[in-house]
Amino acid sequence: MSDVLVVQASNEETLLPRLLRVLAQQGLKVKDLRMTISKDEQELELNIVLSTLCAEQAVRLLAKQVAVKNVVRTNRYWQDAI
Amino acid sequence: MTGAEAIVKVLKEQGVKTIFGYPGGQVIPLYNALYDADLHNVLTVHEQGAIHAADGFARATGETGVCIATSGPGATNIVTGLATAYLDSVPLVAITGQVQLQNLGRDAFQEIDIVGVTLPITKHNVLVRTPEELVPALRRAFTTARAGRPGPVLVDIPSNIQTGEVQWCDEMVAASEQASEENVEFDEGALQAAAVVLNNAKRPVLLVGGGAVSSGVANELKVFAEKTGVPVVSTLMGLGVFDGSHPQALGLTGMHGHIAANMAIAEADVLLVVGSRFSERVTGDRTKYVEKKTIIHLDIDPSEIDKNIETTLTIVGDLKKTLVKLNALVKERILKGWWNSIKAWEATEKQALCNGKRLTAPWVMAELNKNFQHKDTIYVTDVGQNQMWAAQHLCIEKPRGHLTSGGCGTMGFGLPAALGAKLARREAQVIHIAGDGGFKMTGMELYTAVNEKLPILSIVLNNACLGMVRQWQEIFYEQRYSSTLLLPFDFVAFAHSCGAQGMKVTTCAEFKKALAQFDERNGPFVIEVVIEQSDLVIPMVAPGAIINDFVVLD
Repeated sequence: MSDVLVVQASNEETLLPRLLRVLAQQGLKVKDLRMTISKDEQELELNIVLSTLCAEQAVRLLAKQVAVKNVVRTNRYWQDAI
Repeated sequence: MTGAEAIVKVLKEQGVKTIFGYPGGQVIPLYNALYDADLHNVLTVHEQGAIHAADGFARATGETGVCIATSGPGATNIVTGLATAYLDSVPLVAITGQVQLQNLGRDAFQEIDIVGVTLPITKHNVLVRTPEELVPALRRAFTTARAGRPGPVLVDIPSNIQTGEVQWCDEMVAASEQASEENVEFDEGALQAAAVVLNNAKRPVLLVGGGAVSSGVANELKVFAEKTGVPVVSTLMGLGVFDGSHPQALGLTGMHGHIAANMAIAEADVLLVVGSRFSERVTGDRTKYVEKKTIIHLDIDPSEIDKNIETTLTIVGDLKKTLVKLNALVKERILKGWWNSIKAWEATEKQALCNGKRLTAPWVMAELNKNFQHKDTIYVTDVGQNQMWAAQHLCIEKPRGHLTSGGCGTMGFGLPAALGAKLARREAQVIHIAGDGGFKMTGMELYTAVNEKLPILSIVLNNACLGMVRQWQEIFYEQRYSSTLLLPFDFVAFAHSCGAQGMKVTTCAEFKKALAQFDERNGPFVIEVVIEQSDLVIPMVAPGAIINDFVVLD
């Protein structure tokens, strides 16, 4: 089982390196990352699939980054690809 | 107007009157604009001195400190200062010059990706890429630095943005962009529960940390303590937010905490923690720390809740708001039995190093108390044994009366921070306390203090070693003093070479005489205090040990 984080944030240059740094510092590995940008290019939504579950602390640290507006965590079961 | 002129205009708009910095190629345009700006522009000897000075300025007032450095090595020289401010939640705005936009990414002369380097040690940072971004980025830097839990923000500005034309914009940072922690919904239920727990506690303790200082809740804490009768202990960063001379103050807790303070924490059934992050230097063994007690944690930063220890009740939000509400709910109590236990513990703490028979650091602190207590005094310490002796033995009565690098433990912090504190509060007596190792790291800023006419009193506790590391080597490494024993250094001659006054003392009588000679009208004064290398900071709890498991020393 692993966590999926949905992060909504302002489209700033330092956003992605900051998010990835926080995840790395918390010992988390990114399995998949998809990003969509708003029509006015001001907002981003990132779907980050982690290779494991992540602690609440990681979510709080992500939410604390100045450019981040919201973080939602869900978890999912991995199924072997057929 | 030019970008540089816009930067100066934003600084003034934000109420900045004093800045600290060091010029270089990629900030010449900014310094050109500063040349006839109505700002006190302090030139330090090193960029690290500039950022520690801005930090000291901020800690002494709660205002945002401002520091300027050029690109490349100028910017990397402020990295330690940013980390220092970040770990202690100090509001700073650091402005760094950067190579011209067209040279970015080409390994240009003095080009360093300082935004990349400082990602982990800034609350936020940004490289300004267009003239339109400049003014909003700077305004946002100030808002971010001071909002919620304060912290340092870095704004990296290419030199051709500084020289190019900028349209001034009046639009301020939107309220919606303010720190989210200021908009947290208040948990009334948790507050009610906390009050019930406190009103029924048999052995409650109040622990105050640095967050209580930033939040300005000294009055609310006093009301709470006097109403509930609780003993009050402090982390290193919280010293002074509760008057150290108050009968309910037990002083420092943690690795070098007082016996009564640590015992009270260990034996408490309820611990109310205000603005502390449970550093391992405070808790020791984290599992044992929380055993058999209810912990109520008040903090503005949600990411601190349950980060290091599991708390029972948490209230996230502005501390002032929380404490005002809590004070209305708690009952008046007299905890006679609990205080009897605490008094018995207090009586066990040895005061041997303070008897005046020979010159020791605790005795020096007691003398400083005699001379400067009940006055507007700011103690600024360096790091190491000097820092711990100061924290243990000085009577800090007011918030922002004790400035120290707690989280990062940056040696060399003291002198430049003292400089900044004195510029921030000219009427206060600023006393800088350092060891011989730390003083040497940034000692050249004494020259800055002389040039700025800042009559700081510097006490250099000279035991010819890196004392705290030597102490650990003595206790834990079989007295293998690797790289901690130092060769002689003439601090008095050094002080004179900087244009300051200096005296060396080896006895208690000499120290008293030197102290009496200090006169603010004569500028900075360095007193080199020669103490025994073998003097240790006690009490001590070994790292990771239970908080009341004191190291037994012969």
